[in-house]
Amino acid sequence: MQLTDKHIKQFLGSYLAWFIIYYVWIFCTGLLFSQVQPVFFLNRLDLTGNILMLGNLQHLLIKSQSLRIIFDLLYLLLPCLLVFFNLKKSKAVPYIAIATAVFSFVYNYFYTLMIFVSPEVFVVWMFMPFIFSTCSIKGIYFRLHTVRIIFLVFFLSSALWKIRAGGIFNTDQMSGVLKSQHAPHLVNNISDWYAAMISWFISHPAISYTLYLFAFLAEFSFIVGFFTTRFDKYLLILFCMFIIGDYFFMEINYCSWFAFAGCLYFSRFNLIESKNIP
Amino acid sequence: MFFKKLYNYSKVLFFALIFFIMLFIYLNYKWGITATPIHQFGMFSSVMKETDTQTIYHIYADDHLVDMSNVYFSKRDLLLNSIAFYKIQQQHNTSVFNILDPLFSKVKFPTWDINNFSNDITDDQFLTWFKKRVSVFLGYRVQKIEIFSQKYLWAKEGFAPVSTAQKEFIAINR
Repeated sequence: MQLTDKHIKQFLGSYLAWFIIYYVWIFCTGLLFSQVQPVFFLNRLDLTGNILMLGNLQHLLIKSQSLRIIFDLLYLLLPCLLVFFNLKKSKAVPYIAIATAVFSFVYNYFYTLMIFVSPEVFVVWMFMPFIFSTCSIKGIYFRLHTVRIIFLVFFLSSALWKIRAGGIFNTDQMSGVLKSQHAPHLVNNISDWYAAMISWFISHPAISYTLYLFAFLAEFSFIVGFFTTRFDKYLLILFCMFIIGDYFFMEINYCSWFAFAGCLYFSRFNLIESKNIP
Repeated sequence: MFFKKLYNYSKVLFFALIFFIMLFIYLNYKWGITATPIHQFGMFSSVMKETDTQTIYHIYADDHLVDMSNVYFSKRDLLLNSIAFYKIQQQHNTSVFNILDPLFSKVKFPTWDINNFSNDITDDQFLTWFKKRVSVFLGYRVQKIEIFSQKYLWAKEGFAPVSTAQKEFIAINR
C-alpha cells in the first residue's frame, strides 16, 4: 500500500489527539507547571540541558507564575498550530515544527528538573514535530522512518543496558525492582488487591523474573526493525503491552510514548516513486 | 535498505541520523553524562539485591498519617521525591556544577556561575510549598505537616522497619 495524504492526515490527527489527551491527563492530576508551582530544581548531568540553563530560566520559572502559565499554554498551543498549518500545507510549517520541537525540549527539561519525572518520558514530544516539519508525502515518509529508527535505537538500548548492568543475569531482579518501586505503597497498606498482587510477585522471584525477562526480550526484539518493516505490527503489539505493563506493574507513566506508535503503524505504507509526487 | 534511500533523498538528514546514533552510542558507552534528547535507558538495569533497604518517608497531615496507597502515583512521586531531593539538592547541584565546570569554564560563559545553578530556598519556603501541595492533593487545608523517615527491609510477609522513625521536617500554621 502507498502512503497518501489520507494517511498523513490520520497520523497528524492521532499525534494531536494523543498529545491533548496526555496534556489533559497531566492537567487533571494537577501536575502542570503552573499547578505545581515548583520552588526548587534538581540539576542533572546533562550537557545540552546545562547549556539551556545558562539563560537562567530555572530561577525565572521558580519566581514567576505568569511565566509558568505562558509555558503551559505554549506547550499546548504549538502542536495544535503545527497540525493546523500542516493540514493547510503552509510554508510556515518547518518554522513551527522547529519552534515546537525546541520549545518541547525547553519545557520538558525544566519540567522534569522541577517536577522530578524521568526526562525519557517526554522525549517523544521533541521528535514528533520533526516528522511533520514538511508537508510533502516524500518528506514525511523519510522523517517518519528516521524517527522510527531513533525509536528502535531507544528500545534496543534499554535491552542492552540490562545486559551491561547485569540486571538480566539476576533472577531476583524483578522482585528487587518491585520492592523499590512500590515500597511507599506496601509500607502504608498491604490489604488492597494491588498491594497483595505486588507482594505476591515479590515473594515469588522466579515468576516475577519472567516478567523482567519478557520485557527484556520484547525490547531486544526491536532489533529486527532495523532490517525490515515487515514485523512492525508485532512490534507495535509488543510496544503497547510494554507501555501498559510499565503502567500497571511499575506505576511508570510512559503513555506519552504511544505517540511513537504511529511510526510503527504507518511504516507499512510505501512511497510512490514518481516525479509527480511532491 | 532505508539508509541507502535516505542518503539518496537527503544527505543532510542521513548524516544527521548517523551522527545522532553515534552520539547516542558514545554517551551510553561513557555511562554518566547525557545530552537531551539523548538519554540512557538503563533504568532498573543495575542489579538489585534482596538486602537492599528502602528509606520511606511518612507524612503526617494534622497528626494523621497520609496513606500513600490512596494517592495517585504521579502525585505520590512528586511528594516523596520532593522530600528526598530537597534534602540533597544543594550538595547534588554543586556536584553537577563541579563536574561540568572544566568544560563550561573553558568557553567562559558569563552566566556560568554556581549561583545560577543552585537553589535559593529555605526550609520554611520548602515546607510552605509542601504543605500547600499536600492540601491540594488531599482536598482540604492542612494546618500541620510532619515528615519522618524510616528504613525498611522486606521480610516474608512484607516490609518490616529496621530503624526508628526520624523526624525530618515539621511545619505548623505557615
